Amino acid sequence: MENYEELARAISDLEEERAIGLAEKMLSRGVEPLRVIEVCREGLKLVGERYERREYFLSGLILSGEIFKEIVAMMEERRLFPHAMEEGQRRVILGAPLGDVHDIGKGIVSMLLRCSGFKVIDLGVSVSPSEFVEEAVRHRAEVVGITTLITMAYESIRETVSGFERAGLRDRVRIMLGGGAISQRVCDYAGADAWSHDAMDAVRFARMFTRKE
Amino acid sequence: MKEVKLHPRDTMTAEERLRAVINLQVPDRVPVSPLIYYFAARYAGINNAELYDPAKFNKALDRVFYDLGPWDIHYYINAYHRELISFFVPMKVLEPGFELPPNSIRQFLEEEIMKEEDYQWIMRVSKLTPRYALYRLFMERWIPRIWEHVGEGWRSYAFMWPRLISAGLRWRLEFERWKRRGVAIMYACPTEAAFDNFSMARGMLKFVEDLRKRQEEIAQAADALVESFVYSFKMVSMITGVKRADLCLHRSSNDFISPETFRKLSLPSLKKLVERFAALGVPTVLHCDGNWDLNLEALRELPAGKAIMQCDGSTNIFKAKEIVGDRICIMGDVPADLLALGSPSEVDEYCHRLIEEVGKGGGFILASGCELAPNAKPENVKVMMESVVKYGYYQDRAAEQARKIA
Repeated sequence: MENYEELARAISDLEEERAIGLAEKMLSRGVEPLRVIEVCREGLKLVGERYERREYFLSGLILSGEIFKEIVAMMEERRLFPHAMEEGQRRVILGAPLGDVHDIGKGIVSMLLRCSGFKVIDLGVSVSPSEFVEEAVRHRAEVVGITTLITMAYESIRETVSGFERAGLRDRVRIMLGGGAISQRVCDYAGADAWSHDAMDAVRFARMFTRKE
Repeated sequence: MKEVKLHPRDTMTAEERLRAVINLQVPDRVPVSPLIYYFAARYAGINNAELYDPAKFNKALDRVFYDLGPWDIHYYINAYHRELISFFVPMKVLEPGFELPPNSIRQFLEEEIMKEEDYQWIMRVSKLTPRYALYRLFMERWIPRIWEHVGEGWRSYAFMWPRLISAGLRWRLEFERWKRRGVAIMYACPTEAAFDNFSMARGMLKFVEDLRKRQEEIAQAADALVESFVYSFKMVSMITGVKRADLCLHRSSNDFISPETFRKLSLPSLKKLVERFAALGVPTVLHCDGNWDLNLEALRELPAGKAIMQCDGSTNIFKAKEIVGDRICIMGDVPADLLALGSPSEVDEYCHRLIEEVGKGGGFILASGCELAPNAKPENVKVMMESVVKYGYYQDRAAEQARKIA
């Protein structure tokens, strides 16, 4: 009898070695890898809830993501990672705008989105407005996330949103902003759909934006 | 030196005003201190890379001062030599005019500069050479890892020494110039607190692992460096002639760590250092980037009237005033986005509120939230500077209050 709850709890308690050990045991006993991933996501969801209650902070979010990454890496090493699960996933494009090379915040958002079942296409840093548009089209992404720490990137973000409008995609692609330099004022200025300083909000926005009626 | 009044109605010099607010007293008016760097280049019409030329930097800043100022306190971050940036932020860096186009702004990279064995190295070296441990940590371990062209061992000392001395002397000359025009100098030299140094030098992911596995080492290594922080400050203070210290706390906010972790791992060495500085008659500027709302109560443990807490717009500055304003001078926090995208009337309204509420009873410095946005609108910057004259005289406020009571 597998104790799925125990694995979820180990992740939510950030008990790295215990969580990895439990996942390893389950896989060795032939539990479906997809089931293990689901349980891990349950654990990550609990971490997210504790983060929202301010029981955990960014360091906790990062650590839980690292635990998940290690479990996935273990599955990949054993050729067990269920790649089929990526099919049909909701897609999010992420990037830092032109002129900004900071990527730590974007990395955290990317990790949280992946852990929450999204397929993330990370375009990296200093991404031009046209690249955001082209890649969103290529990957049929429904959500674009732009993160920045610098005020000098405001124009580039605005230009990116305009680029989606000019391409006639604005009603199909929702744009969310994050990072220290972002505020409601910047969101209004750029014409984006949502903004936050909180990485967990990116997951909430992405879920909201991709929810089918 | 001749006493210079910045505004006709001033009854104090800027230095007296700064000392009064640090001591939590009521000055003649609220002082203003913007942290200006890239904004000066944009305003003066030069590119950001040109700020490394001391003549161009000073000319650009002067232009801002005479067109949009004056301000009371010179709050500087220019290093003159790009390798010296590593002493404030021990991370790999991309610089305009070098790795980035000339009009970009400096950006730091998260890489593992500090190795896990460095915690033990710090403790060992601090026992052998307590005064020089911090200096040796940078020269022998971190600088060669950040800058490949500097080299290791004696090459690192040979490369950095002349640049340190040259920057120190340039700062001294720069400070004398500012003092002559009646402006006070914020601190002797910017530095990063020990816990935050470790966090940045280890890189976010590695440091998160350390927070799980190496708590004792973090705390002990931070504590071991206190003596050398004090000694390093004394040396820099002797060169620059300023008796105020600065500790940047880029990674101690509640954006990164819990208030419990702050109390356990960051606060002890910070407190010890602020107390050591205070015993020398030296107040400390705490550059508190990020959201500190849950750490505010803990800051009450710092000695009263001996520190400035600079907020960058993320901390609730009004709450900071309420919780810790009777012990620490509060500084801030006109947000970057307001200065870049807001209207002059919005800036005026926010500055007015800060002066009225956070400035109540003294102990307040009006400032930009962290660095003044490079793309701040000049008219907004002018409104911010003028607000201390328009609303900041305590005598006017007392008279206004008396009128209301009558």
